[in-house]
Amino acid sequence: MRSLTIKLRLTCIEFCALRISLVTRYEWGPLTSSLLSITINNIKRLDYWGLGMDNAVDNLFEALFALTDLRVLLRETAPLHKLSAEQQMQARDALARAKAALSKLEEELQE
Amino acid sequence: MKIAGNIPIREVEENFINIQPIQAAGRLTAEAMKALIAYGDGYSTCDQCRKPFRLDKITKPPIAEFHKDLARFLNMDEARVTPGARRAFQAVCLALAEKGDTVLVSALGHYTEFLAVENAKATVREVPTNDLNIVTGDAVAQKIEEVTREQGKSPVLAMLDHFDYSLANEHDIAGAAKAAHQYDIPILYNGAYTVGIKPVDGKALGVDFVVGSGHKSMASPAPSGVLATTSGYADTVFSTTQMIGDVTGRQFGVKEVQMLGCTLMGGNILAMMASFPTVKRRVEEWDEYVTKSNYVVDALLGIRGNTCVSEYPRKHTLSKVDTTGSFDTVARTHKRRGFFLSDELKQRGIVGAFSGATRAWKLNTYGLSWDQIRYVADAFKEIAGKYGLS
Repeated sequence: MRSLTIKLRLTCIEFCALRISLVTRYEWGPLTSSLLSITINNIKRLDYWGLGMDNAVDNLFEALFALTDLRVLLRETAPLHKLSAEQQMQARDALARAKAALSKLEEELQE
Repeated sequence: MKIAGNIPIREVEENFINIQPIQAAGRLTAEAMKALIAYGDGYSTCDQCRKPFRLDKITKPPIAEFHKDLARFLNMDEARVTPGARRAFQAVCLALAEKGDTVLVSALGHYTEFLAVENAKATVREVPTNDLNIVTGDAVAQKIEEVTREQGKSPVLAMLDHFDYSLANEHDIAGAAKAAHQYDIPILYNGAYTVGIKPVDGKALGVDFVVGSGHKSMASPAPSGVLATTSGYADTVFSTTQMIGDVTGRQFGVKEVQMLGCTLMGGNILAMMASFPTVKRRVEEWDEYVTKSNYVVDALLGIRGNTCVSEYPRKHTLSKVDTTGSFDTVARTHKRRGFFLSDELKQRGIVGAFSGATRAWKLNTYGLSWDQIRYVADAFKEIAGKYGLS
C-alpha cells in the first residue's frame, strides 16, 4: 500500500480535473466513475492531498489504540496488576503493536 | 502527572478497584476510549452531515443506524440520544405536561425527575413505597385515584424507576404500567440503572417511554443518554419546529423542539456507539454480575452488626448497607473517626466508598471480575478482623 501511495501522487483536484476532461472530450463518464470508485475504496490509505502524512496518522492512532488496550488491561487487573497467562499475552501483543506503530511513525516523520 | 496547568490525570480506575455507587457501569470500554481519541473534537460528528441536517440522520459515521439499533435494543419504535437521562425526562415532561398538571414519580424517584416536572411548570406527586420499599402497581393506581379526586383531573404522566438510585430495589414497572394505562396515563420507564447492564424490553413492560443513562449504565462519557418511545408518542415527544422568523422568514424544518435540535454532537455519541456492541453483549451477563454483588454483600453481612438496607438477596449490583453495628463502633474511638474505613480500603487498593461514612453507605460492584470481587470481599473481612469485629 505504501508503494501504491508513492506511485499514485494524484491529488483529488488533479483527479477531478482529469475526470471532467475525459467526460467532456471523450464521454468517458462510466470509465472514470469506475476509477473514482476504486480510488474511493482506497482513499483512506491514499495520499490524495500529496502531503505524505496518511501513514503517519494511521500509525499514530494504531499506537494510541494499542496503549488504550493496555490501559484497559490495567483497569481489569487493578489494584494488584497480577496478570494471568492470557492477560500477559494480551499485554505483550498491545506493547508490540504500539512499538511497531511508533517505529513506523518515526520512519514516516523522518522522511 | 498533569494534563495541562493544574489538571491532574485521573488514574482511579487503573490503580484501584472502584466501588463508587454511580460510576461502575459508566466506565468506558476500550472502544469508547478510542472513539474519544479520534472524535474528541467539538463537532466531529458533522464531517459528513448532509440534508436534512439532523444528528439522527447522519450515515457516516453510522449514527442513523445506531438510533435504529437503540430502538431495537429496547424494543421500542423510535429512539434519540440525549445529554443524560435527565434531559430525556425533561423532553417528555415538556411535551406532555403544562402548568397545573400533575406528574407521578416514585417516593424513591431521582431528583432530576422533580426538576424535569418543575421545568414544565407541572407538579410532582409521589407514589409511596410499601413496607419493603417497593413501588407496586396498586400504589400507582391508588395515587392516580387520589390525585384525580383532589384535582378533578388525572395525572398526565407517571415516571417510575425500575431500580431506584437510593436502594436499587426492583419496582413493579409492569404492574405500574398496567395500572397507569387503565387510567389512560402514559408511563415513563426510568432505566438509568438498567439500560445497558440488564435486558430491557419496553414493549414487554408495557411502557410508553424508556429512558437510559449513557454515563451511568452504557459505558459512555457524560453527558449521554437515550430516550425511546412508541410510534404513538414519537410525533408528540419528537415534534419538529413550526416556528418562522418574523424578519427573515427562516424555518428550521426537521429540527426537533424537545431535543433542541442536535443533541450529542461529538465524542460522546461516538463513544456510546463504540461501546454499544459490548453493551449488547454484557446485558446477557447480568445474572452473573448480580451473583457477584451478592457475594460481596454476603461477606459484609458475615460481619456481626451489619445489615443490608436494600432488598436482599440483591437483584442489583448497587447496594446500600448499614455498618452502624460494626465499622461505626470502631469509628467512634478511632483517631480518623469515620475516615478509618475508607483509609483502610484505600490502603488495599479499593476506593469509592463514601469517605467518612461508617453507618449507611452504598457500593456498586458492577463490572468487576471474580478475582476483584473476592479481593473486595476479603478486604472487608480483613478490616473487620483487624479491629476485632467478628
